[in-house]
Amino acid sequence: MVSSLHSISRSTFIRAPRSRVWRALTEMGEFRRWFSVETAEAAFVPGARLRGVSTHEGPCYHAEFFLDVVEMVPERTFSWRWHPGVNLLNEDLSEEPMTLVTFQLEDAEGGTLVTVTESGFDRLFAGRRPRVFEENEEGWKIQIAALERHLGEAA
Amino acid sequence: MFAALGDPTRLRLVMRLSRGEALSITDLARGTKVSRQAVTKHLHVLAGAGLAAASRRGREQRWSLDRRRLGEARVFLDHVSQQWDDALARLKAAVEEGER
Repeated sequence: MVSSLHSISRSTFIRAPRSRVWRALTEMGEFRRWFSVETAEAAFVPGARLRGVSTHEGPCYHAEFFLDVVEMVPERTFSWRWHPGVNLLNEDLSEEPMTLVTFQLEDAEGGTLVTVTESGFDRLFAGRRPRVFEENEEGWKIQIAALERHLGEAA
Repeated sequence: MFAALGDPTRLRLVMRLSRGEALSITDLARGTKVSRQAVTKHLHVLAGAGLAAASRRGREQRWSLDRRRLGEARVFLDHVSQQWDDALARLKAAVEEGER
């Protein structure tokens, strides 16, 4: 669910204990596989920057990105800052604000609820826009439907 | 741009303007508890983010939306949401397949 127009929150239930999900999230070998990324770094370290190269098939293949680890509370919270989206044009983003990505793990019956929240879109430069999309009338109708849903939820 | 939309009054103004007709501040304040002054202030925030623009018709100023910009904001967030759905699905599959 898009909880507001400047942050995003998504959840999934995983049939495994928190300790197991935490390993998949934070052990580099496992992270590389499910996040579809190559990294030179051997481990996540709070405060350290990690350089990744996407191994995901499609337009993102070989796109480079950076991830600054913020916080690691074992089996609870894992967060990083980065530049959202895919930098297909290799633009210099160093002056641009980053978004904060936070994974939260909670016990749920028979497993773990994983919630990822990305926030800080409001600080992005207004000038940065996804060039990969073309605006069209159908797209606009979808936007308005989403706004209506958002208003319905806020009411 | 996203901060400009993160306010219920502004979202309502965007909804009122989304039908495509250019409206005056009086039109936009009608039937709400929001003053014309407050409507004006919010419209200027939307204008500052490039989401709305004013034009003159005779004596009166009328406001309309820049649909292209607003669409881009939503499309971008929808795209990021989709990427997270995909990533979480891969995480779930990786963990649950290993458990079996």
